[in-house]
Amino acid sequence: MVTKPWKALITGATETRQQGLAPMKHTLEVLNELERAGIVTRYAIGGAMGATFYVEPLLTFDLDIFVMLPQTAGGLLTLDVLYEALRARGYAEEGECVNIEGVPVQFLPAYNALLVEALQEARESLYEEVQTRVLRAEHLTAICVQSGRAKDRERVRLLQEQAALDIDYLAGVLARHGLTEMWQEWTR
Amino acid sequence: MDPVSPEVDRLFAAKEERRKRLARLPFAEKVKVVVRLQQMAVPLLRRRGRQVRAWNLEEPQGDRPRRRVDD
Repeated sequence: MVTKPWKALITGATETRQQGLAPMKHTLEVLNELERAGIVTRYAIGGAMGATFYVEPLLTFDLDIFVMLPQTAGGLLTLDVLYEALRARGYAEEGECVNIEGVPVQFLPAYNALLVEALQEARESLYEEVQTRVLRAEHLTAICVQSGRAKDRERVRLLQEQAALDIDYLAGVLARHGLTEMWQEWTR
Repeated sequence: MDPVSPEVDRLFAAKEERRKRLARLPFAEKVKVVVRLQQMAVPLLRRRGRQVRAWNLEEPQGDRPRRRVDD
């Protein structure tokens, strides 16, 4: 009998569980290896997949990975060294992503104070038996507020509903990064 | 009183309960659901001209050597 995709959703992805599949596991192993090798100083999952850690599964086609990069001589944020290291491991660029073990990964350098803080305070977690890191729900919320797009607004609503946000911690993040007013406007 | 409302209310409540249940799944299970969503969305989005594809679900068997440029 063929299991329909919608049925898999309702029953908790029974079909994929039966197949024993673990999408993303090997991708995370590669990211861990890059961190051990010092190609990135620190990484964490963000974006829609980061939010999915806390809320219902969200449709996305790429894995957003926030990275802290080693200091370059000129102080410029560049992904060149990272891309080169991935090419040397056989992972090809696809547009603005790199296909790592079947998953298109978009690397985003921590280009402002909020992202640096988010990366520093990201939560350690296990995916299957692989160690990884996910941005805190409060930082994902603040990043949405800072980005300010319609889809970010929708994501904030979901995080509020489902993520058990630490409101005091979130208030601190929003205040430190000048986002309190925008937050109040969005949640009025 | 609208006789349809109790049934509609029940349906919305069930929908909301399912979303909460999905939100409580372990992360690895949620990723599998995302891949199922991708598989459902790809044909629709491709028809609209978006170049997207579902993540590769193939689980390698045993200790698979990592891909290298010299492979």
